[in-house]
Amino acid sequence: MNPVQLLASTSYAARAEEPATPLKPLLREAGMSDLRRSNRFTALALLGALRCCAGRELPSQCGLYLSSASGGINDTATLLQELIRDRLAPMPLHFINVSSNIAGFSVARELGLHGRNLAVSRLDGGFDCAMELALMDLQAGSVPMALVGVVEECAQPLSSHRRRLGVEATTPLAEQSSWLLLGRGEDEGVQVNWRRHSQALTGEPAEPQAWLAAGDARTCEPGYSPSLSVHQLLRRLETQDRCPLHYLSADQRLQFDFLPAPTQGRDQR
Amino acid sequence: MGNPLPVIAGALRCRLGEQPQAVAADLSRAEPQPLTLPEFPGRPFLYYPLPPASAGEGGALLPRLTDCAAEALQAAALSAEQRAGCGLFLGSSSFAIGDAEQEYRQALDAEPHALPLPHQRYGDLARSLCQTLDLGGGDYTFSTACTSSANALLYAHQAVSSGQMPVALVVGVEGFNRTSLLGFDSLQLLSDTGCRPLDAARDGMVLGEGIAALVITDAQPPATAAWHGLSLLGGANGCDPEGITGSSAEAMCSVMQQALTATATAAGDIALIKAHATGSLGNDAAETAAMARLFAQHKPPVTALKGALGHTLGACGVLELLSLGAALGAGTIPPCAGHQRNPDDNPLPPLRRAEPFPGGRVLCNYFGFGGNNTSLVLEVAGQ
Repeated sequence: MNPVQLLASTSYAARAEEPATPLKPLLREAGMSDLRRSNRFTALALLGALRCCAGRELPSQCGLYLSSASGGINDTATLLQELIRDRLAPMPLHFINVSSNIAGFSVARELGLHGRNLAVSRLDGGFDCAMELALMDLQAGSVPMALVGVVEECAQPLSSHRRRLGVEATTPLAEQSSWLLLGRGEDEGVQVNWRRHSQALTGEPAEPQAWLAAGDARTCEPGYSPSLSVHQLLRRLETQDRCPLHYLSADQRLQFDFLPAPTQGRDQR
Repeated sequence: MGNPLPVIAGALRCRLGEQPQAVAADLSRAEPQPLTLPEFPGRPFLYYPLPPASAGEGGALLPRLTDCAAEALQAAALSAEQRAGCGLFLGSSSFAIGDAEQEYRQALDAEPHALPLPHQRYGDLARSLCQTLDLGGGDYTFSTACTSSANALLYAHQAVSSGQMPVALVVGVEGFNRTSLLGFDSLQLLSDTGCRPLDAARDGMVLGEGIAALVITDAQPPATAAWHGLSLLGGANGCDPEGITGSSAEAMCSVMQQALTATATAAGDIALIKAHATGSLGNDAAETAAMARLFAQHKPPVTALKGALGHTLGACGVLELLSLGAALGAGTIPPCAGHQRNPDDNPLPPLRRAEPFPGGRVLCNYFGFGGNNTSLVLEVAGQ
């Protein structure tokens, strides 16, 4: 079985603003011309996925694994207000947009993907869950490539969203769309290994994980997001001579290792 | 590929009750209940609630879910060590949104500016179950509309087959909620007269509640007896990126073929098809065409369960597998409740009467919003 390789990665994380920062200019830059009537959560998913693929043509059976803690929380909360408080039945498009797998469908439509398509979650570890399932599929040969993403949006008004997250009123919030593309290939580039430990690993996290332990995620730039550690991981992969890099899941039982191939001596990007 | 994993325990809660044999015996009944929402008095609905309550009156979702999952685990007789290594795979399309609707309504009575969804995350139900039931093998929550718990089954099989964990609890859950009911109504997908799967006069779906849980393991008989002779062989999942509310026949056919290939099953080996068959015009037509294409030479019997159980959305994967498995394990293919007249263009008419089932492989289809399609292959031991 060919090793799993990291083919590309990107992470968008920005301070959540009121009103929300328009995404259309960024989506146009990323190559999306047909900006349909998607909600912000789907727009975030498209932005991250398009940037990650960066014009690369993916095989149609590429799998897509999208995770999120709360999905399109803004539209879902709005729908509930209209339904319960205002006693208004939902409009058809509004109902479709709150379906949790519509963002993944939209990414698949934009990239021409017909393969496995999952919307998954795990408390404090949605990315871990998505990565684990993607790696299982790659190693089983169920998919030739896997596009793995985590998307978190902030509902407006932000004050309400802070209440939902249980953070202080002054905590800056971030919206996020972090993606990586995995494939099975020859023995070059960044290899991705993983293992599930039967018990949680204890003790101090080893370098280079110190940066995860160094500060409270609530004080990290650009702001708090349930999956900010993933943004930090992917930025690390992008900005340093990155390997080896070890990422431990929130429950400390799942370990992902990003390792240089024996031939790596040049920038693979 | 096609590694049979026995289902060693199962528990279910559905319109027909919670005893598998009783549910299996009643799968020919198509008896939804009338439902009227007080805030929309001019719009009557049909619905399949969990007994004994009417829709929305059964209490909070988590306790009912925990009770069902606990029943399955108890029947599986897992040791503490096995529970520590047991993964949880949960599928739902609406999670506890019904509870959230009620809580929001109550909160508004006290505070006009109450916050909707104050604490709602997709992973909450699974984490609560793991903590309550002492499951330590990791939790995986799937929310892919109507394929949610079917995908939970698919990946539980994959995880156990590949040695990631020795045992897995797979759960499907869907409780009554206004969001789903009124949302599907806004899309004009609901029937006012009843669910008639694959019927020439079908006019829509009827939703229902459902909770189901099963345990699969890598332990092989005779060490472990399969529940009603049921084993899961695997399957496939795919996406049709052209159809946001329904897939094409080509896409459905493709995923069925992939499921057969993944389990080393020839079309001629299929002894029965459990169709997804929601009673909707478009979905049923596409699935009919897909089955006709794949099974042009060998025509196995076809049945479907949503006329008896309602469309339980994200729960239908596990719930329909267990309901069907209980009937097949007793040697009987249940008829397709609600089906009365076959369309002229369907060469695979669903059963209108129960038939004997001698054992063999079963293809189970699940197709959902967002073009999400899943097919699973089961093996049921002969009597």
